[in-house]
Amino acid sequence: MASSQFKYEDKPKPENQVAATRSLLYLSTEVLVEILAYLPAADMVTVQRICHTIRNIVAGTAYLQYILHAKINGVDNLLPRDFPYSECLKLLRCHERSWHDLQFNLFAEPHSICVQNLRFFTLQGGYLIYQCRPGWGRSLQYGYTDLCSADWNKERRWVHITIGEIQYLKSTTIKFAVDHDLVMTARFCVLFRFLL
Amino acid sequence: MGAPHPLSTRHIVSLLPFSATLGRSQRTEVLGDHILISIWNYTCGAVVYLVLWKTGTVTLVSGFSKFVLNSHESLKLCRLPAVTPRNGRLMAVSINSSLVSVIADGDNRLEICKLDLDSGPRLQTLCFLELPPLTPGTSNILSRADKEWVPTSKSYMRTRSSWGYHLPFYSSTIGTIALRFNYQRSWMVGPYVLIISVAALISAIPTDARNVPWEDWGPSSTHLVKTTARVMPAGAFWTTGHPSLVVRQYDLQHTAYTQSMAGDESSLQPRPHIVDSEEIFQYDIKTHLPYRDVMRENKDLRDSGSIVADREWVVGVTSLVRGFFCPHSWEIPMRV
Repeated sequence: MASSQFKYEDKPKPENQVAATRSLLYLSTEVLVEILAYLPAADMVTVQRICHTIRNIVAGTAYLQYILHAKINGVDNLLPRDFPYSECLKLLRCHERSWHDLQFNLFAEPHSICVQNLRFFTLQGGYLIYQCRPGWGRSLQYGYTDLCSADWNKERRWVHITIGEIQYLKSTTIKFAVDHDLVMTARFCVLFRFLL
Repeated sequence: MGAPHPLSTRHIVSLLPFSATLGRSQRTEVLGDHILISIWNYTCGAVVYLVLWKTGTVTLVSGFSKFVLNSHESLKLCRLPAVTPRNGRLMAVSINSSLVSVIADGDNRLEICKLDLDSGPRLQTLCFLELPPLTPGTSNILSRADKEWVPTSKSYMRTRSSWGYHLPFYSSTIGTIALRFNYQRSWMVGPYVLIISVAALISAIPTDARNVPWEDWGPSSTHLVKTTARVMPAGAFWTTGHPSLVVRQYDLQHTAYTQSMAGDESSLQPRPHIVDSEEIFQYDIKTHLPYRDVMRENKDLRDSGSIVADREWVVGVTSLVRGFFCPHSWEIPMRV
């Protein structure tokens, strides 16, 4: 049997779906909430379409609403464990609205950074990282500031780093992974072969 | 800071000797404990490596073959398998923690591979997703791939919280990937940006490894646009315009949710976007991935030379003339 045929034959038929939904509803609301929380976002949306009871449970449970919105937005949170889901949901909706309307809060007034030959900035997890082009044969330079640690409208503290052992070549690539506290540099060198 | 990473036992890792010729390019991505590296040039072809950065183990993963080096072995030359392009680049772009897309110049398709880290790092081809069909004599050149930064450390939540500052949210999955192509006939045409919905791409992967024609997955899962503007990830969104801040939002799941709940009537609707064939495509290319543009004149960002953004922050970078050189200053960090 072709795998695609198998896939379609395996799909539950509508009458089975209704029966399955009915038997689900014999479970307590608490258990249903736990089951629904495991569903992917698309399935959670679908199941709300086919059953009013489930729709009401999802609509009336801050935990499920938050889980659903977090899945839809592709985010996880870093909030304390005891932070109420209703507050998480409020924060996430506020976050959604900010991006939806491009309503940002000005966090700081202009500050300058006096580093020569800046090449580019990257932003990872709240860390603003610069990399500069130090010139042929010189050491690599980069630096960062943690935007989350700063107070509103206060001067940023920059950490400037020079990697002394690795000289800069034009083909050097630097990759940052702040979640690992890792900076990776990749560079090419010219190989000479002496053959007889 | 700037010192060797304490978890890394080998701080410098040598890859296989590739070529001393000019024109080399590379792309690197950190994937958990691995680093995915693509290297290519126009004379020797292309290779893809996986490097376990904690131990320094290097694995050549390219098509169906593999070649493993570890710290106890000497470097060996490895002839590239025939599947890698002889004259062009090959770029490996991670889609999520278990899927990698390999894109080769001239192939005009995405090779979707399963990243198997448990049984020795290797890429196993799952299928080929074809790109918009080209006219005879036209070839495509992938110039870059962009996507949102998403942490790949398993302990990210714990470590970020332990730093004492709380970002409320961070992206746990990549929503869209942008591929920038140029097309070559006797002249160069482009650039074109192909935005791909990751969720739609994953659902398009068939159970049996095979070619998936463009029409079967592309129109509904992508947005093809001809643009010279730099498309930059801004959290889950894309910035497409400057000096006015234009943010483009691709949001299939949110659209489905709002439509099904019959709440927000102003939500984005699928609307076909048509790109003229211009003698490079076999026909006009129609794509339907829903999106919404939000434009805002922002006086704070007006003088910014560039913008970088993630889920929580938008930072404008301004050029200022100071003395004899031109440093940039980061100017307006703004918090959502």
